[in-house]
Amino acid sequence: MSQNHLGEFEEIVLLTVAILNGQGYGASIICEIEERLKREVSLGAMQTVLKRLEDKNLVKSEFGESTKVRGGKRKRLYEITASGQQILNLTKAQRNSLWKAIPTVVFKIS
Amino acid sequence: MARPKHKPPQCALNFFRWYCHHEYNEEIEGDLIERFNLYLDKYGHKKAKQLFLKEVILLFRPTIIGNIHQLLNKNSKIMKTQSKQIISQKLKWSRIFSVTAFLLGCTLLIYMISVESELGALPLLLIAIGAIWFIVNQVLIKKQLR
Repeated sequence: MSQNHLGEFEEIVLLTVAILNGQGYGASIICEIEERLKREVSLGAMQTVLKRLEDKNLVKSEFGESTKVRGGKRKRLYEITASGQQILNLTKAQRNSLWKAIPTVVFKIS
Repeated sequence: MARPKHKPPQCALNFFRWYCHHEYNEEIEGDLIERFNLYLDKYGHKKAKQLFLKEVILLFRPTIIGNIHQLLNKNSKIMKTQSKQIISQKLKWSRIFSVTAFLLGCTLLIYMISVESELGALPLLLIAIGAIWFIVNQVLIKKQLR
């Protein structure tokens, strides 16, 4: 996939990372998506997308604190980068323009 | 009343630790354990174990494994270490037998000289076999340690 385009799931994950504002990590991002979108997400799919977004420089990460509930393992906290914000704005603008381009008659018939 | 403490299935966790890239191991293992505790509260122990296993299997993908060659290499290194241990164990017994043959030869030689005043061929043969066996063992151990 091109560097300037996001897949559907990539977009959802990137938006969720933005919602969590630097406090999002694998498990918490899954919880947020499940809660907001009522959609089941596996940890494998989530980690793959997060690594891909990091490779594309759309998110950055750093280790956070470890907790007892995680068996003493540290979290990797993700934060959206400037290019991530830029690509989200671009995607939103593209979608809005597509929505605006739909003739009103199309939705009236269906 | 305190809830009984349940741990995630160890064999699934060990499988995950085996295939996961060392760079991602800590964060993902933490996420797995956190998800397991969440499932435990939501669905109970049996279902939580099943879901944990499912997550571990779904995590088995190229991004998480990292380098397949590294994984295979890790495996072959373990096998090499294990085979080294088996060989050194066998060599240890071989060394014991060679020393026993040598000592038996020496005892027999001393006995024949002192009691029978005659040098036999058997003790000399035993000493020679013991000594050669011992030297060959030493060479093989040195080769193994390299």
